Amino acid sequence: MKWPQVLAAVALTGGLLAPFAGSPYRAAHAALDVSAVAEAVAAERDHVTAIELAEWIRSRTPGLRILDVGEGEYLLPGAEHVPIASLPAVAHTLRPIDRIVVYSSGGAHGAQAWVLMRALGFTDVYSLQGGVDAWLSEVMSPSISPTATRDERQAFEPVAELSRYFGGQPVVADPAPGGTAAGRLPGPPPTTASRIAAIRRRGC
Amino acid sequence: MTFPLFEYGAFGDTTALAVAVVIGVAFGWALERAGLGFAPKLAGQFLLTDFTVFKVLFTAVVTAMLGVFWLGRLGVLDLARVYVPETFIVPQLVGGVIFGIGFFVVGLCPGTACVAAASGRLDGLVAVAGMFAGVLLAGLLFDGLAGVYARTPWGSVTLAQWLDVPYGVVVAAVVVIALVGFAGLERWERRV
Repeated sequence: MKWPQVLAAVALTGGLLAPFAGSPYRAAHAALDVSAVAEAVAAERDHVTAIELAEWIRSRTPGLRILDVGEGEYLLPGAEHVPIASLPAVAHTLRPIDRIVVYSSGGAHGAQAWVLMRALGFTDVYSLQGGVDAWLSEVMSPSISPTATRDERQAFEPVAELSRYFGGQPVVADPAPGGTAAGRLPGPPPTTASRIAAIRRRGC
Repeated sequence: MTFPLFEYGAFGDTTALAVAVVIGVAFGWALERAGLGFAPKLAGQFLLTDFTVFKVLFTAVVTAMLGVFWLGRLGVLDLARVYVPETFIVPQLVGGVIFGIGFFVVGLCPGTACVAAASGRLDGLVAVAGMFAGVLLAGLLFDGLAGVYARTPWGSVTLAQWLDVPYGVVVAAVVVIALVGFAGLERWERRV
């Protein structure tokens, strides 16, 4: 057989098999390397703490993309609101070499979004441990106990400075959540929504 | 290793430009080999006496299409990251008519004009000069053209999306049309 006939036969085969092959787009067939993902979760490489994320933002890590996959009520600095349902569509606008952090208000959707991003082939992806709640309590209002030792105060200084960088307010309080300088207020502990509202009132 | 390599961080901007030069050289060589640096050959396509343009273009389309489809299906190529130009139906139809008239008058299209110019053919050099003059003129008149330029935007739409058929069906259809076209032309050209 001559070359043109060989090539035509190859092309015809490739063409006629195509309708039975399904979609050529990755997202339709995303395969998850379950062992690798399970390992990453066990080794705690799947998430970052709020403090670590704050450091990344402050040091302008190249290629850092932060996605709010939850309600989008409170956007972290530089974050974009991508409801989890539209994540596969948005994912292909992200570069595989970017560092991606996904979060939601509590962390459940964030963790689920992490699995989806791993399935779509992203490796440098993390979920924010604790979500917006953690950001608010660890970065925006980090607390130090009034009975802290001098070493603890020294260790707290960089955290306080980081907090002030983002317009937060370190507080001196009990380690219990919802503590204020005046001690724990009576009433139900503050919800994420009320803390966001408090920050908005304060003007941040 | 996943393609497109640039998107997956295999190399940076400078290497990407070097790669583009190499691909460009290969492309120019292939066009010259096919004889498409010779204006009468291209004009022959419009006069339906020489079907080289049709054969070269459709061979390229089929090769690229099958490669892209199957490499995408195998996961080697991340198809969502391959650029799909946007469609603006009316401006592109009007521009296409102007382009077609110019193509026939010159006997060269932008790529083949560069190929002809590279071989020192005077018509190629003049065509390239004319192209740059036209681009410059369009740039100067851009404010006036801006109203027409972005009419009827359809976004980055593919045939499969527009016809609402699976991608594979479009692939099969194009391959069959191309092969039938080639076979038919062989018979026609043997008779003529």
